Amino acid sequence: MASPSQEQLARLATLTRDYGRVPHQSSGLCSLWTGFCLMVLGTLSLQWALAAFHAAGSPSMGLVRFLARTQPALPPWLLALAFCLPFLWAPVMRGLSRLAYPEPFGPVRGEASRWDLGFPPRLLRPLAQWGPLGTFTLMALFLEIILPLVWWALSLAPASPPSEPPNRWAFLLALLLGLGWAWLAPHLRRAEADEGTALVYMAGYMFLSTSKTPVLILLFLPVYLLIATGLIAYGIWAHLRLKRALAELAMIAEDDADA
Amino acid sequence: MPERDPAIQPILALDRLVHEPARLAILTVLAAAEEVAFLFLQRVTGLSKGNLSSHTQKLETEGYLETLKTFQGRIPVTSFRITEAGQLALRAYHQQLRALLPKEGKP
Repeated sequence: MASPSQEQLARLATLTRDYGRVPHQSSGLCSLWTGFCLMVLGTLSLQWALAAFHAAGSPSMGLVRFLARTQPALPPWLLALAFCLPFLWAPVMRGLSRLAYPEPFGPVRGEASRWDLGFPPRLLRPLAQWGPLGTFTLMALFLEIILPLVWWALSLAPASPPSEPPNRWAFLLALLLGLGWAWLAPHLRRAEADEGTALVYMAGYMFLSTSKTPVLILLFLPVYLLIATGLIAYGIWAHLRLKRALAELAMIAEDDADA
Repeated sequence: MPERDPAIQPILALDRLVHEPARLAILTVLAAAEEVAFLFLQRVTGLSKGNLSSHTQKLETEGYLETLKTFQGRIPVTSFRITEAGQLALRAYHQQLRALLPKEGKP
């Protein structure tokens, strides 16, 4: 091997850094897919809320206040979609991972991310696996206490729990979803499981909101739409970046073969 | 024994394990990531499997890198990670080399 120049060494280091920064197992396509699923669920929820609002003749109160007071039920087809989506999302995610995996170059784990959380990475997987079930259980148990506090904080409605009896089926389905996810998550790679967790949380909140009041989903909706937009933007950026790095790596491999 | 030119001493003091082109490229790539697959290293350096194994073994014996064997599904994946000693050796090598090179504008 000829002695590499400083420029060649710098190029190698930059390329390795670029390649390592993108989680190769998703290459951006999986983030794009997760962002798309979240966006679909979020947009459909918003569309349903607006439709209910307009059907009531667009009363003088705002949308959030209207939903808090009237408590219309989320349509069953939307709930069925929310329940099925994480389980439909997973096989497509696996397919994309296989499709986008840059076989000729193998995996590279980049330098420790500046976004590292303050706890050991080994805790991330159990958190992604059991987090939704734990959260849904806690929410199901303490929603009666949490909701009046939320109403009071937002001054949306009187600080008393909704008079409607809780929908036990919605609680049960949210818990079932959490349990199903706890079974599915270990079959996915960590990065995939992390992204899927956002989808499961959103679906679970939709069930819990059906149980109490749909305003709950609207409170989380801006956050989920923001996450969805972020995932889509990141997916496109990561995919283009990886494509560029792969093209440059292919050129280096060709140069080496010629030499 | 003839006396050596003192100017040649810093050149002879260069870490030869790092100075070898293939090993220099390997350490440079490893220093830019936390963990690098054998395949990636092979493609990017253009070394043959045997050559790469031999160089990484030398670097591992010296404690400059460590080998990690994992499974991706059912496929075994060999990866490498640069050690603290490897990082220090690479940094020291670059410093030595910079000190040896003529300064800008000087012959």
